Amino acid sequence: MDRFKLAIDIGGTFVDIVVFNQQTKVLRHFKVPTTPDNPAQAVLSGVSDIKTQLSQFTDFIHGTTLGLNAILERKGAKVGIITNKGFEDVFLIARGSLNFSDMYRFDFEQPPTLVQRRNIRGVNGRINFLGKEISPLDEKALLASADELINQAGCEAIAINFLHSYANTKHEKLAVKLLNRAFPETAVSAGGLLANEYREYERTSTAVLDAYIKPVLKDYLQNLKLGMRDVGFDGKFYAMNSAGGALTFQMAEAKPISTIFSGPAGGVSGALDLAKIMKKRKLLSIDVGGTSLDANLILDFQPVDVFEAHVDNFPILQPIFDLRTLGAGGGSIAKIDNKLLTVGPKSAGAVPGPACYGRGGNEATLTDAALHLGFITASNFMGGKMEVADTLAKQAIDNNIAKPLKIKTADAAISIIRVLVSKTASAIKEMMLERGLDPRDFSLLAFGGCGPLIGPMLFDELEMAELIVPPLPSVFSALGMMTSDLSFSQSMSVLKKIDMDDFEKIRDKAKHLKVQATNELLEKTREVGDPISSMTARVRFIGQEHTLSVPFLENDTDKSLFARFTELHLNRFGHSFKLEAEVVSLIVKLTLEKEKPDLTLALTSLDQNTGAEYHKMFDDENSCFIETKKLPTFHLEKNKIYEGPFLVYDEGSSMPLLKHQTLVLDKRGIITVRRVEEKNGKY
Amino acid sequence: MENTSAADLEIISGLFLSAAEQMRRTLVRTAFNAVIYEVLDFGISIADSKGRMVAEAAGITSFIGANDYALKTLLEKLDLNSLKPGDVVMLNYPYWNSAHASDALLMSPVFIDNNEIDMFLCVRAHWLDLGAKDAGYVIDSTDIHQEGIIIPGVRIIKEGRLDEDLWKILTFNSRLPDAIEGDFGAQVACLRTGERCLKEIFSKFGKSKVFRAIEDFFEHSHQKALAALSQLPKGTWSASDWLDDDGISDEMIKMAVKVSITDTEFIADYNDSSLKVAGPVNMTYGGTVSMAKTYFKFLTSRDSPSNHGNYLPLKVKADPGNLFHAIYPAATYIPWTKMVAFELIAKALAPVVDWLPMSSGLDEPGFMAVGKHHQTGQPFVVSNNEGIGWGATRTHDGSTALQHPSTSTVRNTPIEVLERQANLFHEELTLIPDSGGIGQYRGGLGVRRKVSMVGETEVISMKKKSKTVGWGLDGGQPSLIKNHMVLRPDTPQEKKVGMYRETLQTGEAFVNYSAGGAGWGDPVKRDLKSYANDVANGLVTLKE
Repeated sequence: MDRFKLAIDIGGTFVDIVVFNQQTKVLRHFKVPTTPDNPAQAVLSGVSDIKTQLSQFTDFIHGTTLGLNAILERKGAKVGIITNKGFEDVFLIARGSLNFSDMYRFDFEQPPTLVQRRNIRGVNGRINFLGKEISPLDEKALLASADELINQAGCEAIAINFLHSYANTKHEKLAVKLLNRAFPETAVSAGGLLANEYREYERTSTAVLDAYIKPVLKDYLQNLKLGMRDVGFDGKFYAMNSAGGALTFQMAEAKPISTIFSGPAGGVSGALDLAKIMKKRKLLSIDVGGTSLDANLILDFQPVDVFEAHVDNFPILQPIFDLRTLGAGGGSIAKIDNKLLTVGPKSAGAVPGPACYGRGGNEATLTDAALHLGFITASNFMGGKMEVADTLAKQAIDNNIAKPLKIKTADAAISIIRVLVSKTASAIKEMMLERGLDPRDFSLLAFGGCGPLIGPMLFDELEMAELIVPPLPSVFSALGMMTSDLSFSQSMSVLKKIDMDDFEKIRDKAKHLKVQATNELLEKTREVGDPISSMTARVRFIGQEHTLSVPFLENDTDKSLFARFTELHLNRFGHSFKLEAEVVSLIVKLTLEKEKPDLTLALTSLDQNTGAEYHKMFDDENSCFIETKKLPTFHLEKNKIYEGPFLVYDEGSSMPLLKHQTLVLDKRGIITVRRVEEKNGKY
Repeated sequence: MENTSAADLEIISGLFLSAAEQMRRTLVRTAFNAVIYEVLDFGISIADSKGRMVAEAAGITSFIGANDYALKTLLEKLDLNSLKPGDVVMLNYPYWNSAHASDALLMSPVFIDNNEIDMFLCVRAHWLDLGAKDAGYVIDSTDIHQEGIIIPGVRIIKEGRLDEDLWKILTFNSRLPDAIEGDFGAQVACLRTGERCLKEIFSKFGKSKVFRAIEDFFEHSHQKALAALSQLPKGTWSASDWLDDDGISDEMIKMAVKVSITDTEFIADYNDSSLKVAGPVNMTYGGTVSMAKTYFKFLTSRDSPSNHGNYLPLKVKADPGNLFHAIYPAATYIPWTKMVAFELIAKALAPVVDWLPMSSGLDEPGFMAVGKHHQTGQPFVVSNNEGIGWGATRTHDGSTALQHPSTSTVRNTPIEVLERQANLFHEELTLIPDSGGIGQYRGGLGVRRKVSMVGETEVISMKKKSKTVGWGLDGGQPSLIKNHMVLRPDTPQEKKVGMYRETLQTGEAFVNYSAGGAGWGDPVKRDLKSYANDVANGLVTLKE
């Protein structure tokens, strides 16, 4: 009997379902519409469409945006906070700052908070910055406060955070234990246990967000589990985490904040796998959908992490892949602002969608521009399942852009694309510069429905080495989940100078952290085996705020670590200093590798009879339409070099290959695009 | 000449903005002192060869346009023909710059093809110590020469090479030479990033297209500013307010503005204010201009990036010798004048422009602490900018515990950082109930913080609005709490202070108070549900 894996990714408008037969290597995928009111329903209805017996499935891997949406839509649990007496307002006072985008709004109106002030309690007990207990935790007051919050105020979850808990978690551990015992039904989250990092507001916020989504996510995952069991699934349940790996459902329920970016995690995991397969040390991936573009960096086969992310202005101290979201996608709307042509961030979304969908949209979008220029093909939109109309696209471009500017439709359309590409390129440059990286050293990986569309222009604009497009780019995110490993990270606050005296202490902390994390991982997953571990130190010169993440090796000495740090600083920022440095924290990342499906043969097919057809496409260089070809991806010969311009497409996306660009499809179905000059320069 | 296409205009202006943004990120990532990376005390700008600002990246709200005046004076004072590619000019002379002597401006000319100066780049940031009379901050200087070493716009880097002689003078005049070296390096890296970006833009589009786009962009922004101006009432309105004192005597200081709006101009005239005072609260004219620019930006183009064109309608008047136009040798160290005077324009216009907010807590009521760490013996200088309540509008309550509007992107300092780095053991941090000014919409709340010393520490209380209150309209009331600090509370030596410096011994404490914002409208008309909610959350208490 064949065995199968199932991956389900919930996006903004569609649920992507991917089924992979581990024996025959046949891959099937389909989409069902989302059901925003009850997200599990769409997943289960999609599952019911699977033709294979569910008992033959071994793994179910899921990416969900449920936790994130609960925060954005304020649909989480009623949370109470317990903290130090006298510091009840830390969460409400926050850091007192506005975002750069709001900095000139002197009439600013604060959004509703997640926790009402009346649901915050302070109790006695204090730890100082050295981790020393100054006064013991008032256990009686703690239980009395919790009782008020839970039984009188009706709180469904409690967030705990105490000052300096990063230096000593004793009070938080005790508080969690007492509350779990007295109130077993109530979800409890603790700042120092979730994030062993200094800064009290950020830790409190992490605990509050975790508590806020805990009941919601737990209900959802348990419902899903029951529903799946009901229809005969008997395998393992995994949820994607925000670091690009997978967790068991149980782990996700216990620490839901780690799944906050579960949605885009599949793409990151897929990109990581592809970087390893293709041996690309420096990869920038872009996932371009209808409304937004998610950019992510992969360096030395690791996704670049950040340790602080924000959701709706609330900070989260968790290792999260550094995902930058831009308002650029297929639905991005073009507008004229006096003398300027602007594109996005507003999007036509799925409803009404681009004008060419014929669903009542009359604004000009990126998709309309691309359709008019022949950069996507009308005949095969969404695998031919969707009718699009070039006349509607042309009309929208004419009315909104071409006529007011008194230019030709095609010139208006290419302008829309150029503006969007330039804006995207700038944002990517800024993101990379922050880390001292240069896009020219990177390969670009483009996926999502519109990734292949802007990929060729974007990699040209950024002068990147090459463009890579994976097989089935439009469902790559769900595919990526199939290749994810179980991953787990833990951090530990250190705050010690790198010198001879302190280095033993740093090493002891590292050893301790690794053992503790490994035990926890094995216990929680009930897996056996040796996880692969990698340790990172966040280091800075004493006096600096920002840290650099430096690999921390088992045989490191103070000198070797310091040398690695200064070299990285010099590399990234062009200068270094002769000053002392300190380790702010250590992070261990554990990976339990899962069996990876071999996607080599996993190419599904369109109608096999479709061959090369003539196609009209715009040539930017000469500002005119030219007769060229369009080819389905599967029709490309392996390892043959094709020269642009022409259009290549599959059922979910199209890619306009430009003049002076070449394309090669390898045996794995991966496309690589390069510039002609470069090829000549090399050999 | 043919106009630049709409797409090229958007692309080129976007690239300039991105260049400024890349400069900002370089500075923040590599800076050494918290005043740059945390307090964001810097301003970055890109200007054309005539000194007209093309794009900028401010750290703090009120630093928009802050380099424009400095660049304009440099263009007058320098022999431009002597400038070479790779040069970096340094300026901190307050009367030419637009800030106090600790803010050093670095300027570099950009030669696209080595023939002539095509663009200028500027970055200005707060340096931790340039040899002023006191460490940390100067609150009672009486002339410029007590405020630090003066660098009057000279080349610190010549054709890419650091002037070692000059550098020695600088570092030997600083108490913190390491920090200076780090921050100087970060500022130079920031300029080099900008230069690289500009060269890319020019090589892509060519000089003539870029320069044409810049002119078009100025024109576009000027038109937008005029359109916004047409939405404002025409006429003349005035307002005045009080600054606590000049740090030398106890006398309050009058600040006043007269705002005149016509179809094409917005004139802010500060001449009815006090004349120059003895202490360091005099404002440089450049600082006055950027203060007015900031509020003007809120009035006309708050959500879009601005350039030279946006500010063409703005005229700022303050005669030399006025509080708002310091001349040599007036002391100018304390920029709090700029904060307290910031909402004067709002006070003048709020009766006639119905979307303007009432007064905020009006000041940045923070503190600094200087001393030797009780555990490590290491010297420390820490600071905290405290949030205040913001004013209500005619449609919503004021925001609570935000930084002063003129520094709205700044963050307060975590307790865990203050306790780790300094001798400041915290006993309380709380919102102050009833500190929001009452009204149909109430003002935001202020903050109270109690700290006791675990080692001898010099505390500098920073506020210049501790004697008088703000303003509301139509029955709305200002906050009853004023910005202030109480030293040694509940002891015979208890003392209430505004801007003040004193050494506290181990075991002694201070309590820092920040004001709330003012309310708008008759408090009796407040929605009952909102009132009940305020009471339930303890933001408002039930009183007799």
